[in-house]
Amino acid sequence: MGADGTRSTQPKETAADGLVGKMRRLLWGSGGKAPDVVVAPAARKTLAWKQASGADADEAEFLGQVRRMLQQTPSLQASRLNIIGLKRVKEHFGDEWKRIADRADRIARNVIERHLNPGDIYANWGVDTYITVFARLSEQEARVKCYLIGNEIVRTLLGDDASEFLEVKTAVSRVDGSIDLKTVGSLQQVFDGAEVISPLAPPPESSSAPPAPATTPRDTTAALAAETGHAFVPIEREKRAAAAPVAAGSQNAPAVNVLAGVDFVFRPMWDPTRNVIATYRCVPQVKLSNVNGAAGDASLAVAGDPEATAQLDRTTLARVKSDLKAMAADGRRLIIAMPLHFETLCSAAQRRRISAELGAIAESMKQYLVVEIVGVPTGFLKSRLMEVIAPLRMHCRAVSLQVSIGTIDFTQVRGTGISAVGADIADLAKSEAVVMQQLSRFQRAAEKAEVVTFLHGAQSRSLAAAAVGAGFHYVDGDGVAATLNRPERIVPFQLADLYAPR
Amino acid sequence: MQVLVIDDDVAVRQTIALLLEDAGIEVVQAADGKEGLRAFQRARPDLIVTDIIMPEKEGIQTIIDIRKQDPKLPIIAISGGGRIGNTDFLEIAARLGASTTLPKPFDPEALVSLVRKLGGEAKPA
Repeated sequence: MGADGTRSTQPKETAADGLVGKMRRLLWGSGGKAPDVVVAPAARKTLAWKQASGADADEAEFLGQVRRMLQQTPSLQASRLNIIGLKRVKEHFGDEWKRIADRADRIARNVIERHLNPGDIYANWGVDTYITVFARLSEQEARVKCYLIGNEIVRTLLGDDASEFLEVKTAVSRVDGSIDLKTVGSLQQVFDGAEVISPLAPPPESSSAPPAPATTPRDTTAALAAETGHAFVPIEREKRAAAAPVAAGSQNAPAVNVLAGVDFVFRPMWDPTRNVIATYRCVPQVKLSNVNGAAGDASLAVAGDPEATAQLDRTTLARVKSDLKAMAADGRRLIIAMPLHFETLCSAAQRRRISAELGAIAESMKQYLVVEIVGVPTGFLKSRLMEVIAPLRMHCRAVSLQVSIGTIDFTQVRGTGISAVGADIADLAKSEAVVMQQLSRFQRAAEKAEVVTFLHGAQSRSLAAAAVGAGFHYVDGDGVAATLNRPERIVPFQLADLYAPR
Repeated sequence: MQVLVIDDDVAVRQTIALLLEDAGIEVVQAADGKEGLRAFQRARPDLIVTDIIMPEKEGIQTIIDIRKQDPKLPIIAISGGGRIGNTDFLEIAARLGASTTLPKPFDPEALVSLVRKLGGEAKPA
């Protein structure tokens, strides 16, 4: 607090910039080519990386640099620095690493960036080490988050049973002033004493109250919510267990309570070339208790928690199976597009489980199911993609891939069995003019790869018209038609219907 | 005669503006439908030339909104590209209020003569 009783606040970005500068200078010196340190801006985590250092790190030098950085940044405690190491992944790939290092680096950055909140920073050391500082999390929460992010990276690169390749370390200061790295051994170890947070879960009632001292995880999450306006929910262990039974073999893994409130709506997908709506996209949602009647994307609510994400996918699959069964019974013949997370499918155990569930769908109804893989990281490996979709293809009409609208190269998709590629633009914080340019580029790239395209989240008529004009094969969003509680029927839908009074 | 040209592509918009100005026609420009509606209310032009696919408010919705305020104003819809063919967009534009349509690319002379014809018809002698 300031002398006049007002809260003295340093502008977040200014403070972060200072820290970034120090990290840059201390870790990479003032000369030469240094990798960018990335700060998630206050408003949105739009980030830009430029280059990696391209050299392997020497740990002693690394520790020395970290120590100097900490000495010159008293506000930054060593224990807030968490490090994700991919050296074992690199060793696993052997000579192959040279070929895929850049792509692996892109995947790692992409995963990290997806989980950054305003004020968080990360940097790379060499091409296989990533340092994270989470501005608003307690030490324990930061370790949990860092471990989950690291786990997602190695699972994306190597698939299931890959946790042995993950190295997560926390910097610790010794009495003599030296710095050491403490290895975070397992998820169990990470979770000892730490609670799970969920960035989109309902906020505590006292969200407008001043922040409390962050002495316990529960206090911390409440304070975080109060400070940031984001909703954080601490989940008590017993409630967590009751609300979200987790996958076999991972009984100690986290699960988020948001799934207790998950609900499904179906979004009509317009096929403008055939002038029809015959496909309905299943959209899992969670009710936002702080906004009356509003619902948010359930995928975002479980982001960063692989077990909760897998559970969401299984819940979604169960709902879609039930709808297909109902369709078979009453003679409706529609196509349902069902989202499944890439992260879930990277796990062999989850893939087997999902494949078995899909296999149980009546053969006559499998032709009405499209599996849409979501949460695919930028720079995904073709081999991983093929591995992921192989067990799905035999149980459905088609497998599609949802990627970023900024994607302009689909060479990795060719020959994988992916039938369609698309993007969701509902939450893009960009002007329509910019989005429209991206639509055109995306479509042109997809045409080169000869894949069908779809666009989710065309929230206005102008965006829907632009998508159709650009050549997208399927378009949905409020600009086309509102969501329904169940896939209803095949509806003739012509361009003129886009302009019908609503 | 004053013509309002609505197109988000600045190159196309300015080319049309130059073309019409060379023909002695006064031009007001707008970059999308929203801006176009404001310009329409402010300038009350004798004719409108509008693109279809534009950000914020696209051309067909713009035509519908203008028609509610002025059922007789000549409106020329122009469009190019699109998998389902610009004929479809232009067809809908004609059905929902455009006086006539012109697919891109078009002959500059054709546009000028169309503007003169429709603008002249609309303007009382």
